Amino acid sequence: MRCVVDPMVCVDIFSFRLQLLLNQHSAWRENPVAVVSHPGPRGVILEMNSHASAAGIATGDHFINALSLCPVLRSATIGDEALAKGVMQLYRLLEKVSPQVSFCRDRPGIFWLEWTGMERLFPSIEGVADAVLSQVAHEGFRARLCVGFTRFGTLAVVRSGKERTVLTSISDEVRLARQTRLCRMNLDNANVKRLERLRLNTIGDLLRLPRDGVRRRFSHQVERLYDMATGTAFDPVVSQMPSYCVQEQLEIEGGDDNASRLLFAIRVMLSRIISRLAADHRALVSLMVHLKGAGHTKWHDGKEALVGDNSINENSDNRRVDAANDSESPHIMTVVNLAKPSLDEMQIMDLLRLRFESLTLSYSVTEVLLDTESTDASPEQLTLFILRGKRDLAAAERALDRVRAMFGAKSVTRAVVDSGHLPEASYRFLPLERLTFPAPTQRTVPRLLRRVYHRPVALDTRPVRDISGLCLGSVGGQIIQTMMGPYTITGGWWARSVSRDYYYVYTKNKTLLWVYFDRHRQRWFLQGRVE
Amino acid sequence: MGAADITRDHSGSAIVRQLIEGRYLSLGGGGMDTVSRGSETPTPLCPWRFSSVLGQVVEIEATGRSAQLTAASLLLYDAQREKETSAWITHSGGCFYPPDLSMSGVDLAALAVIRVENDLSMLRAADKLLRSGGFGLVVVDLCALGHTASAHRNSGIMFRLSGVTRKNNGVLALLTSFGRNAASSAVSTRVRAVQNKRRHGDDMRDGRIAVTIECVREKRGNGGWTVHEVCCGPDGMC
Repeated sequence: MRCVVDPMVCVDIFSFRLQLLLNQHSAWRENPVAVVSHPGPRGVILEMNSHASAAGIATGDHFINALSLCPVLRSATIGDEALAKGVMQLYRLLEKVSPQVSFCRDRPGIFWLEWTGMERLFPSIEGVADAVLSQVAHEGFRARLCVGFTRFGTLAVVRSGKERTVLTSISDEVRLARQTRLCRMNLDNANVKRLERLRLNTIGDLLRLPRDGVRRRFSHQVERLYDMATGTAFDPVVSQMPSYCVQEQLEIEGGDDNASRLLFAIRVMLSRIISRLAADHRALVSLMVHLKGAGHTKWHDGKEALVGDNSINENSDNRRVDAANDSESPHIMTVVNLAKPSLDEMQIMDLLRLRFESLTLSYSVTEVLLDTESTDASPEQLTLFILRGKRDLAAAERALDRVRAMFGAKSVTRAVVDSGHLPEASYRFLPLERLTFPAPTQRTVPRLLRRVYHRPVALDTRPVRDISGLCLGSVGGQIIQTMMGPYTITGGWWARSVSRDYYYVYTKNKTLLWVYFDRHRQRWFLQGRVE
Repeated sequence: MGAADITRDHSGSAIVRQLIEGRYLSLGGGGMDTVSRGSETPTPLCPWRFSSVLGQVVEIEATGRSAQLTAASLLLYDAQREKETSAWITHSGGCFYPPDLSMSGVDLAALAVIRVENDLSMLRAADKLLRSGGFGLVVVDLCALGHTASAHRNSGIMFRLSGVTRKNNGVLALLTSFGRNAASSAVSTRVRAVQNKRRHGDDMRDGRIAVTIECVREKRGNGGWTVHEVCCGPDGMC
């Protein structure tokens, strides 16, 4: 394809929020699913899948109305941060195909890639298109794609609904763009209805109107679309990394004026921020702490802490404190800037601790907001973060060696679950060879734990009844209130037959015992307690 | 998504009740009743979380219908979720039942279990582990020794452990027998964990038990908080 104008590829990850949601909840794919603007019955349906639209739900409906049409509707919100993260993910993906990637600020999920300079990698622009579709599909997204010559033209053609369009000339692009229906151009429902009432259904219909008329009669959104279609809107292609801001917010019911407690809360928030940044291969450059509340306060000195080479340089000329105003809710904002991007939580907390030492709060803080600026992390920083985790494993191993030296090699163990039926055969303690960072499994409900005695304690031959009631001897004469069971375990017929009836016993002095009756030995035993 | 319900008690102070994954939390007024609204599902700043007791010595005292081990396992699970290395120090004669801990989600392969013979050895081992800075949570199960444990009542030993815990930003959790509390000056938070058979909210079903963790004493905060957790009973229990 030869053309004076360099061709470009427009990629539309259609229903971007919905695709993000379905990637998070893959089990929902066969159900009606909708993305709502905010949680609650008045949340507005933004996007939905075909199952939901088949049930009669339309975009713009309230969630409560949609639920009445489709009681099995699954819905969730996709916040700004998740959206930005999704855009970032796709941006990085498309950068592997072409370094000249730009994205649409108004509509997340739309990207443009340029082919200039990539001829040796992709001899034809169709090769770029195939590479893009394959990369996007690999990440679990579906996309439409158009190869054309102008941003708006390719956007309009890709929005017409065809999965893959390759245009060979600008005139083809203009012709197809004019045929795109206005309802597919992300206009508000009200604007679309208004245009349809005037029988303006496509971009071509809109372009037949005079510009002054469009400006007078329709909204700014329609005017902007008109300008983009006519090419009079200045919309240069800017290859720019989407901004990525990780935030954490904490609301404090009743407020708190204790700086130590606030610092503890900030530490928890900072830990989450650093984990999220590390997961996205980014490092913290600066951290802004906003403390909002009622009353007034002041910072002792508005100094900014800068970190570089383990030294702290204070620049007193840069005051970053917003002075409190007695008539409004006070708001302190302080910034910690790092000279080198870092993922070191302890280092950042040290700086914050130093700042908070000079803080005198005479009001209750009702909201804490942490705002960040970040940049790409170097491989060394990420490696250190992954290796370090929270604790120094080498130091932990050395401590365990000292414990072995003091108490014997068999004192340091790890528990292993076995497949035996009997409680004492269902676990073992093996020597702990190497300590690792934990990876706990996801659980829905925690379990009540039992304490098990390595050697079951033999009780009296049978529970005895005295004037107080049925009583278990040898366990302090505890009176039985309730017995639950039995559940019987038998086995070992090939060696030594075992048959036990297990019970859980509530006693009058409020202990929950785990006992069993051994049928062969005709004796009661205490296996443990439930604690 | 979790549902938060803020009600006022008869004295007018706010009580936040939030159901997150089956956990009800009620805090008395004056404490830091918080709901965090980060990008994840909203969770309260629960006082019975690892990050809430960081740098402290926590004592879980025994009582009737005790849920000591369960309360300690909740802390352990939370610490592991935050990628903190943990250790459990107990007696060779008896300890937690590993299959139950495994079914609670705890990673047993990453949990160091130190088995020693007496209470003084337990505290010495805890000192070594915490002093290294390599362990975030150390649980010392003094209840495994029954009523013979007494080393934890020594103020000198406990002060030393408290200093080491604070310096290395860890947590030391002590499980003590009824009436044999640790030296109180060194303990930052003392709680009592109780099994409650009564129905609690709408989340109670057959085989579920409510565990209540009640703060008896807290040095740093205002105390008086209670955390309710709905747990599954062991197999065979209904």
